[in-house]
Amino acid sequence: MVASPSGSVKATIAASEIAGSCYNRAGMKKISWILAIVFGLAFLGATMMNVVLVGKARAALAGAYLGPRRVGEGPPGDRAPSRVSTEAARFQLFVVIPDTDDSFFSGLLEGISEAAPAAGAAIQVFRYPGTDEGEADRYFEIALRAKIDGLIMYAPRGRRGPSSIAARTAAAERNGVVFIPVGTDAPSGEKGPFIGSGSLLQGIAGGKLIGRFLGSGARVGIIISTSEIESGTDDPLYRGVRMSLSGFPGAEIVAVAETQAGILSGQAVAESMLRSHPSINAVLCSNARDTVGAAQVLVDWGDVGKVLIIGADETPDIQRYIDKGVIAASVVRDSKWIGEEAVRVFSRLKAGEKAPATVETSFLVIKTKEGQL
Amino acid sequence: MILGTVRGKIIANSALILLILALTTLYSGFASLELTRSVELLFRSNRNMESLRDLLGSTETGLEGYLTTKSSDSLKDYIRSSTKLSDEARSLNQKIVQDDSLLLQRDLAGLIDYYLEDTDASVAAKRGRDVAAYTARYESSERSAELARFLIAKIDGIFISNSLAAYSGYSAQISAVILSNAALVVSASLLGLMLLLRFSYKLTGPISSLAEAARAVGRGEYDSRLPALDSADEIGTMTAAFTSMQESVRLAFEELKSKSEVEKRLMAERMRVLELDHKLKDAELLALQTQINPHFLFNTLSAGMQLALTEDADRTAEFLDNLAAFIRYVLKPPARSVRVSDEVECVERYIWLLRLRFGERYRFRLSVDEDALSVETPALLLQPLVENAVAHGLRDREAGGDIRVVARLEDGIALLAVEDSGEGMSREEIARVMRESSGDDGSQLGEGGIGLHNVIRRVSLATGGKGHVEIESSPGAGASVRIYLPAGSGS
Repeated sequence: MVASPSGSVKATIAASEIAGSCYNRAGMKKISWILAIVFGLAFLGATMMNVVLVGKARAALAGAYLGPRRVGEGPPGDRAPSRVSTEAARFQLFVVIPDTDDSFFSGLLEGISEAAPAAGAAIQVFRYPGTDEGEADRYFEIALRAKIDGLIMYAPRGRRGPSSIAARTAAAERNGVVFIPVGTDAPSGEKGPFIGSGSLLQGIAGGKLIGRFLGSGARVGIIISTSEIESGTDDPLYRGVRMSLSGFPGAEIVAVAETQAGILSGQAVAESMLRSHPSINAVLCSNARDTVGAAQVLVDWGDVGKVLIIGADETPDIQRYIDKGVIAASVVRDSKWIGEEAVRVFSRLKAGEKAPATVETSFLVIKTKEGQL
Repeated sequence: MILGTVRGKIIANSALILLILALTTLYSGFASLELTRSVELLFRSNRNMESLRDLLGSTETGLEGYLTTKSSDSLKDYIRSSTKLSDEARSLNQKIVQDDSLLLQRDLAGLIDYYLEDTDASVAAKRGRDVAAYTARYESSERSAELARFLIAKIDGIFISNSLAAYSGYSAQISAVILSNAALVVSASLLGLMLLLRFSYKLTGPISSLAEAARAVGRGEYDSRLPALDSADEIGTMTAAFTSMQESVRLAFEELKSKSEVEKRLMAERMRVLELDHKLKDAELLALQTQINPHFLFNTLSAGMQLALTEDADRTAEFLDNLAAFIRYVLKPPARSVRVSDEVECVERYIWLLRLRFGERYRFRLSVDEDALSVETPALLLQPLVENAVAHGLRDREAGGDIRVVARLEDGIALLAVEDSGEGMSREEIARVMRESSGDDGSQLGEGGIGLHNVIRRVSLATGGKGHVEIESSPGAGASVRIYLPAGSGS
């Protein structure tokens, strides 16, 4: 360095200050770069997340608007079967059934739903309050005027006039709609296709079970759903029980009671009947709801084992009571088969085949604590 | 290119930051708009159903108007409404797909077709004045309209239910969307801030370095170096220019510093000259002072000589006369130029005084050439040599010492010599005397060297180097000091 010694020191200090400030700037530059990269990544991440979330939000809207409806996603009164198919079907099939908790109808709907795809049919299920026949008529009328392909409709016994099976069958034929009534028992005296479970057979099976357990000492009370009752002792179920008990002299039917709609109706009727007729040692129920109600009465009273209960159909509650010995046995109607058969008949009719005669399923299963008989 | 300038860089960087923020704002706004439009989509089907319901009502009104009044306006209204209703019905789903709302739309479309068949048949029957027929078809159409409204309400219910379910799902997402929007805005702002910091450091860094360097230059530190800047913008140009200027200033200052050093040395030399001058003045003053005393001494010696003559002390008078003359000669300025004759006379007086002191202890001989007497010579050359010969060469001789003084002219060269038969000098002593006499630093002189040294130097100075002195001697063999002077030389 040419400068004086003191000048040289000063110059060194100045150079180091500049170098130091450069170093500090280099440090800040590095930090600012790192932070810029970090915030840039955060920016990209937030953008991507926002895009995904906006997409999800829009999908939530558009999916509900455009997508197929599934069970549980539709309106409460419009419960569709638990399957979705976006493929176009060949036929549109109405299913009109009462809005009841009877497991018969859930089995029926299950059968129809499973058989429909094979038949190339898309089904529309309409439920109406069990006692509101006007609502059922409305759906029937819509089906005819909308010119759908087929209509599977619950047809209780005892309907007369335009609501009779015959009248509806004729009206459907005029509008080119295949009409298939389903139910428990075919109306007596009416022609045309009908697919049902056969309450007479159910009564016979139940009566045999009572005779087997109680023999001639059987004092039987029968609980029948109002919608199914025809007229007291003319009810097929009653007749079936009576036919079976005739083989056990001394055994008798003490009481026949009718239940209304509602989940507690069976329990109330069973309680009333058992109070009115203390001699009853066997109760035969026509559906699952009444079976559970009667069993609950025995549990509440602590009379389990004192009264023999022969139930109908199969639900988890009934199975539980059977396992506990509250219910002796249950005559299970194969309503699922009825549903499947109804779709098969629809297919045959659409194919131009002749309408089959009345079909009543004879496939009944007896469930007991020991298993299936 | 504008991007190569500071302004261009500021504009480009600001534009980038603004672009990021603008894109963020636009995206956020666009996403919000899309979500709003999606929500509107929820109720589009309900609006379609409402439109169908209205068209159904207006068709019924038109039909009733025509059936009751048979007015052409009612008929036009009916035709207009029924046409629109038919168009709307055709826009409903016609496919058989396992979907409740789609199948219901298909049912509704079938019902509306059925309804329009009845209304058209009713109008036709009205024109044909078939009261029973148009009444029956009207009643049938009314039933179809009622069923259609029932289905519309059912479809509405499904749509609303689905819309509510969809809105629930949407609401579950929307808070996350808002949060991510906020995160997006915050991260974009922070990104912009970091880019701003980055760019500001990039832009102001070289300026700061330049400022640091300028401050260093302000403090007089020209050796600081700016970091190399690979930039073609104004700052790069300024940095290059500053570096060049700094180098120029540094060189100029170094030159000034060098000149200053020279001036400093010159000043020191002047100071030394002044000091010497001052000393010279002192010496001159001292000389003046010393000149006063000789006058007193000469006058006193003259008075003594007069007294001696008065008292008939001739020898004392001669002594005082020779002493006064010798002192007068010696005390005159030594740098003066005299003739050889003056020198010889001075030596003779000095020898007379020595003989008075030493008697016949030493033998003095003078060999003087007449031609040499007029030659000019520096004063007091011979006397110091004689004094040296007595004081040093013959000092240890009790008797028999010879001293010969020579003055002659040889080929234009005056030779003045003093020879003695004393102790002599060794080769080393001779070399030392000659070396010390040739130096100009007044180094330490050896014993008895002052006179000889003085003579040698004055000979050299007075003759400008043309004259010289030779010493020839060896231990125990005496010494001969010879002075060679060019004829005509003198101070």
